[in-house]
This record gives sequence, structure tokens and C-alpha cells, in this order.
Amino acid sequence: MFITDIKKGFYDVVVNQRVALLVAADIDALCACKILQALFHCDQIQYTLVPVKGWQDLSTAFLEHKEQFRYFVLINCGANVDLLEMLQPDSDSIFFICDTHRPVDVINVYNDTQIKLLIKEDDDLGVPAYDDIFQDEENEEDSGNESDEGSEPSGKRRRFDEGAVERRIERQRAKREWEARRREILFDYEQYEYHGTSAAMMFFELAWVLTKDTKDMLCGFMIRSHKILCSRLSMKYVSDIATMQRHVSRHSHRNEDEENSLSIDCMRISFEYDLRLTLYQHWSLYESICNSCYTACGFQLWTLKGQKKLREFLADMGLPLKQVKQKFKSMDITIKENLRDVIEESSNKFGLKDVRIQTFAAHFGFQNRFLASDMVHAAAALLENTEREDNDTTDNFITALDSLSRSNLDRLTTGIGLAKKKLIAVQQTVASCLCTNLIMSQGPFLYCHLMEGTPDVKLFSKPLALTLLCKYLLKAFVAFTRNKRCKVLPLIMAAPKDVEKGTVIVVGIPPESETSDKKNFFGRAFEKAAESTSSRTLHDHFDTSIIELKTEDRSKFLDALITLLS
Amino acid sequence: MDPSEVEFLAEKEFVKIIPNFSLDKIYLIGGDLGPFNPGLPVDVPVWLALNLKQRQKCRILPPEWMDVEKLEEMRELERKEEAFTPAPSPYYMELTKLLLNHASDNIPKADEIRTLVKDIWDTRIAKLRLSADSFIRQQEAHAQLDNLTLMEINTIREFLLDSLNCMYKLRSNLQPGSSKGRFADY
Amino acid sequence: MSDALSEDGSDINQDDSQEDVMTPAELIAKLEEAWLNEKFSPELLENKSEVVECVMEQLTHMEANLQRVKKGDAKAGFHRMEIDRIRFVLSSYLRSRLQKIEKFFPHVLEREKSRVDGQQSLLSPEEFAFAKEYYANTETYLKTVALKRMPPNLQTVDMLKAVPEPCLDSFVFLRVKERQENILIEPESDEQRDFVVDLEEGSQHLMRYRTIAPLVSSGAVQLI
Repeated sequence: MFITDIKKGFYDVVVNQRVALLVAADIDALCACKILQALFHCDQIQYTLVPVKGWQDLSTAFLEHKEQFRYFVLINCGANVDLLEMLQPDSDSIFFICDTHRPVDVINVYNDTQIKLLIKEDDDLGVPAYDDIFQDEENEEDSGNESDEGSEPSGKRRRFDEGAVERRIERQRAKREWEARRREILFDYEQYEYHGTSAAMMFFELAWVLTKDTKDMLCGFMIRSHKILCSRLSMKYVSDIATMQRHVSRHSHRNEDEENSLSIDCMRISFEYDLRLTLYQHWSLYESICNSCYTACGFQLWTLKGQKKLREFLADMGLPLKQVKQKFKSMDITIKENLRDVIEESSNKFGLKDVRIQTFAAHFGFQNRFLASDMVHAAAALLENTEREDNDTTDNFITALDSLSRSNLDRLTTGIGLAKKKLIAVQQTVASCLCTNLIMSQGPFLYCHLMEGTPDVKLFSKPLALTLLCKYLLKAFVAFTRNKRCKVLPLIMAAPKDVEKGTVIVVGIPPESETSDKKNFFGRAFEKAAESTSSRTLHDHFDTSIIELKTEDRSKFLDALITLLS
Repeated sequence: MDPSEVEFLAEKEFVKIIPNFSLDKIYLIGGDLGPFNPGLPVDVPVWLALNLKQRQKCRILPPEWMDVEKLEEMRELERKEEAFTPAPSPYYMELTKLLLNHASDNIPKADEIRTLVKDIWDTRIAKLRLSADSFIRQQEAHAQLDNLTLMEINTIREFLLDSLNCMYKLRSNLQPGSSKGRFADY
Repeated sequence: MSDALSEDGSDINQDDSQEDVMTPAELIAKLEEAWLNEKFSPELLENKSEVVECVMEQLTHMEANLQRVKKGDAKAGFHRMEIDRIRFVLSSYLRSRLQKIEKFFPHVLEREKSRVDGQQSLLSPEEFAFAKEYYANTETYLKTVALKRMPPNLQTVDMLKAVPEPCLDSFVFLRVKERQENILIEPESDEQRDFVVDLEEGSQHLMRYRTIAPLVSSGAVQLI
């Protein structure tokens, strides 16, 4: 069931209880977790934090903790399956689910006792009405009996008179119709996978209700927002941003009268225009332009022509190469002063109209200024850190979590370093994919397969990194290709996951276009294709559009997918 | 002594807070606190104030001496006088650090205060070094150290006592290892 | 007496408070004094077992009370924090004493042996047991590791000579709690003469521990 009053329905219940937090490994969950942790600290609520990376993890974590806990909070996992069916919990375990994955499983929606959804009901969920998908108890039982007996007709039943038989036939027909309709409704409902309001947003609102919202929390919260901003999704998100912006201005307003006396060390958050260049404040301007998705795709930097264009662009701005190639922090102060305006002016000339975007920035101390987008990249890089030997999910999760608080700047710096490496790897992979024509049009979708032995292939065995690469690649491809039909196709990408086990990780993303609502139909399609070809797949990820597949089964799986979607 | 232990002692100092919750009087072993009423200032030890602040349950009022004008005066006085002037508080450095690190948003002109306190501290430590130097040079056996705070003593303790012991050892010509070890703190 | 604390109960020392009336707050202050003195004095000081015991009693009592408090009471958190702080001082105090016992064990035991009846013991019974055991263990250790392989005339070791004595001549910082007059200060070098100082209440000094050792045990000065 949906919880309408998050304070009463959720927080007041778990106060003074021990709570198990099962958190998915993505950035939104990270931020949500951070906010919730802060709340728990304020009220001294004991909790156990368990990062989970997939359904299997979730089940194990639940089994390990079900003896000790009654209350489970699931962040960004669990809403899109029938949780009770999967976990088989005791009847007194209670699950609070705060999840952006949509659609929400109908069983979860209509379970009143054990499943509490921390999801706003007005979030245009389009949940089918109860009557459309569930029959009343007695009815169900009745029909259950009948179908039972239908399959093994016994002598007793034959004694019924004609009328009864007719009534039964009538009833069965109605039932068949109802079932067909139910299937249709459910198909419509479950066909597309998409994302709803961010989990961090839900918890921030909770914090607001409890009047314990702080700037640090807000920071965590706005980080999440960045993704929304960048991917420019549907109207719903725009209103979310407006809400957030109100929060930001409320926070800055609170200190306005004593603004001049506030310590420089206090964090200030602003909502401002900034450049769409990734990490440029922690990098050199040149490298940032080369490795930002927006500029790289705009200039088509993987071509010679693109490189030339970039030079022209820099010349047009009147920035000496020496300055551009050195660390942004050490750049000449006179250049930095009106850098943003200069860049914007020149980019407009070069057809990059949207180089300026609105974003959130946090300032503290004399030199620390972080854009929300930079934080996202850094945290994501830490979350999927492949450089460490042990490569432990929990450790990475905790590190990423730490990097979000400003007392751990060194962690964040490490994260930024990793993010740079990752971006360079993405950029190079995109360039090589495009130059060697690795992207093939398969009819209903584009397909690209990273070969074993490609540089940085280990990096892309992780879902977030691969998704980032996917989006980047698709953008680049759309900018690059002349084939108009290809521009509106979705992309499926496969990368080696585990060489020893012989598995690949497969990600599907919706087509790149301004208008389409970002709904992803690959989840269902993957399931069906796997079913029909009996490929050995693993649907372990919380996003259904990310799966693992045995390498040998890849071609038959793809064939099935092509037939299915065309 | 570890600086954190000095900080521990400083945390016993009282500070005014404005709570945002209400609670009856509490009877701690070390004394009574409260009652707490939203909006009404109340005296609590720093350790409690910081805990409440971190849990967003109160606003800390800066101690009286933590004021730009007063500190400026003190700084001038400290620079003018040759001897140590009375410190703003026996734990001024520790309290400044604690409060500014954890509650800088409650303290007006926090940056200026930080600089001023550091100036005062630097002046005093410079004086302390000078006098320690002359103490050893002139082979004194006694020194009066009024107005020095515990933290200040603590910064110079190990070095000064060690060198004094060393000098003593050299002078009394003791056999190495016979006894009289280094300064040790337990 | 602290009637104020009656709610959470601390009427423990009402029983034996005939001669020694002390509020819990004063008790804690006493413990902290003892802690700092022990930390800075070069030798082992007299044990304060009655303070330690009273504090322990207070703590157990408070903890028992906290057991009864229902979950989620904001007060419990405050009490728990205070308990933790007191416990820290207490264990730091006891630990520093143990460290000193380990360092000076033969001398400590020697003093204990030469103590006349009626004189306050330096060690608490537990510490005494610890010191004896430590002594025995060190001896056995030395024997098994080296001594038994030595020529017979070298097989014994005089612990009193082998282990350094506490250096009473080290300098200490102190704060005066009760005014003292005519403290004789020995000179550092031969050219200088003896001289006397008066210790004003509240003043702070740096001098040799030997000079003021009796004042530390009497409580007239506080080491800092």
C-alpha cells in the first residue's frame, strides 16, 4: 500500500526500533541513504546498512537479517517485483520500500499489511484498479474450485442440471474474458520500465517535515537532481526541480540577514547557471571539453574535422592553449572571470546552443566548489571502483557514501580522479566504436558489442559505467550517422562481464530523442527472448533492462530479440 | 597528555544553548541540567551541547568572550604586555575549535573569531617559547606560570620536561640506564 | 546531600556518609583530580580506592536505572553519555596506575613490604595482587629465557637494582589549591643558592616533583 503521510506512516513507526536498511548500489539510493542516515543519527535510531547489488544479494541479506529485524527499509529496490513471493518473509516482517523503479508491482500496491510503499501516489503511476486485476476472495475461490474440478471431472459434479452447466459455462466465459482483459491491462502496465520520483527526494521531504533538514542533506539531495537535469526527462521532473529549487532558496534565505557574518566554512548552496562541461573545475578546460559528452558529441571530436573545429573554437574564444591545458584552478584569474560568458558566446557560434545549464553548486571554504554533476560522477566512479584488488561491493558503497559528506574531501578527490579516468575511457571507447563501425543496425534496434580485450573493458562490466557508455555512445552515434532511420532506434550494448564464467552484461537503453518519454521496454523483451530461446540469463539487476547472459547464448538471444521487436 | 584529553576536560565547560525540544530537568551524576524548553536558553556542558547540535536539536549561543570586539582588545593587550594576560577562558583554544567546527553557523563572524583566537594563541605560544628558553638558559629551578592554560602547557610539556630531565642527567653525571628516564605521561 | 538526584537515585553514599559527606559531583571532581595527579606524577601515588569504589557504585546504580527506562527516552541518552565520560576517566586513571606498577614493580612492592601497620597502603588489594603476579611472571620469564643458562654465580638478579626507580627529580607543572608558605627550592647549579617561595592559591608553577610531593598527596596542589 502507499503511505500518504510519510512521517506518521513510516518515521514514527521505526523510531525506537532497530531497522535494516537494504540499499541498492546506485547514486540516488546513495543520496537517499545519506539523508536517512542523518535523520537516524539525529534521533539515535539503530540501523544496519546492507548494500545490495541485485536480487540475489537482496534475498541473502534478508535471510541473514530476518531473525533480528522486524522492519526493513528498501531503498531503490524491491518495488517492481512481488516482494513477498520472492523473499517469503514471516508475517510480522514489514517492508518499507522507497523505490524509483516503475512500474510498481501490483501485489505490492495492494498488500495492506506488510508492504508499505514510500512513493507518492500522484506520481502518475497508472496502477490498474483493484477490481480489474483481482477478483474478490470468494469469487476467486469459487472459480478456483471450478477450474480444479474442470481438470478432473468427477462423477458428483455431473449430477448438476443443465442450467447449472450453462451458468458455469457462462461464468467461465466471463472469467476468460476477464482474464484476457487482466493480462492486457497488466501487459500495458508492466510493458515499460521507467523511473519515478527520486528516493532521495522522498527522504528529503521527510526531513523537511521533521524540520531537521540541513544543508548537508540538501547537498546530497541536489546531487541526485543533477541526473534529472541532465537527462531532461518529462514534465514531472521539471516540477520536482522546482520543488527543490524552492528548498534551496528557503535555505539560503534563512541565513540572509546574517549573511555577511556567516563563516566561510559553512556550506552555501546555490542554483545557478553553469557550463555543461564535466568536472572542468577539477580538470583542465581542454580535457574537460574533450571528455564531456555534450561538447565531444557536438564537435564530433573523434574525427580529424572535429579536432580542427575544437581548435577553431578555442581560438574564437581567444584562450591560449597553454592556459586551456593547465589545471583549471591555476588558470589565469583574468581569463576565469568571464569564462562562462566567453564560452557560451563562442559555443553558440559553433552550434552548441545548450552549453549553459542550470545546476546546483555547493561552496564551502575558500576553494571548494562542487557542482552536483561532478559529485555524481565522483560517487559513481567510487561505487564501481575496479582498481582495487578486493573489489568488494560493500567497501565501495561505503567509500562512495563517505565521499558525499564534506568532511571526507580526500575521498571525493579520489572519486574525481577515478571519474576522470572513467570519462577518458568512455570517450576513447566511443571513438573506437564509431571509427571501426562497431554499432550495427539490427532492424528494430542498434547493437554494439565490446570485444574481450578492448582497453578498459573491465570498467564497463559494471552496470552504471556501461549505462553511461551506452548513453554517450548513442548520443555520439546519432550526431555522427547520416542514416535517418537509425537516429530513432534504441541501443543494446553487450560487454564481457566475467571471462572465466563466460558471461556478458547486456544493457538496453531507449532511443535518443527530445520528445519520447524515457520509457524502456527492454526489460520485458529481454525476459521474453530469454524464455523463448531458453538462453541462460541472469535477471539479477534491479533495472530489468540490465541482464547477464552466457556468451554462447548471445546470438540466439539476439535473433529472438529481433523477431520479437520487429 | 594527549591534546584530545585536554579537549575532553574542556568539554566540561558550560555553554548556553537554545533547545528546540522540551524535556524535564535531568539529574546527571555530575549535576542537574534543564529543564529544557523550546526557545529558552539553558546552560549545559559543551559535550552535551555539541551532541544536541549535531542532532539538530539546539542552537548554541557563543560564550560571552567569543566576541570580535572583546577578542580584539585581548589581542592588543596580549601583544603589548610582556607577561601572560589572563586568557579569555581557561579553555579558550579548545572551545573555539570545538564550537567553530561543529556550530559555526550559530556563531556570528566565525571566521574573524577564528583568526583572532589564533593570533592570541600565536602570541602566547611565542612568549611561552621565549620564557622556556630563558628558563633553561638560566638554569632556574622554579617558575611561576600564572594565566597559562592547560592546552598551552600541554603543547610545551613534553619538550620542556624532556630537556630539563636531560640537562639534569648531564649535570648530575648519572650512569646511563641507572634510572631517571625520560619524561613520561601515564 | 544531593536530594536533586533522587529521581535517578544516588543516595548510595548516604549510608557511609557520616564522616565523609560528598555529593556525586564532588566525587567526580575528586576522581578527575586523582586522574590528573596520577598522569603527571613520576611515582605511583596513594591509591584512592574509596573514590574508585564510590564512582563504580554510582555507575552501576545509574546503569541499573537505565535498564528500567523505556526505549526512546531522550534522557537515557544523556545519562549514557555521562556514564561513558566518567568511565573513560576511571579507566584512564586505573590504567595509568597499572602502567606505573608495571614500570616500577620491585620498588612498589618494596615499599609495600616496609609499610608499617596502620599506614595507608599505596596499592589497592587488586593492584597488590597484580604487582605480585607481575613480579613473579617477570622473574620466571627471565629465568626460562636466559638466567638458567648462565653460570651459577650469575643466576640471580636483583630486581630492585635492575628496574629503574621513579625519577622524583623531574619537573612538574602544578596549580596551587591551598596557599603554602616557605617552600624551599634547591638550586639547579652550584653558583645559585637555595631560596624559598610562597605558593599563592590559584597560581601555577613549574618545579621539581620532589619538592612538592607531600603537597600532592595531601591535596594542597594539583598537577596539571
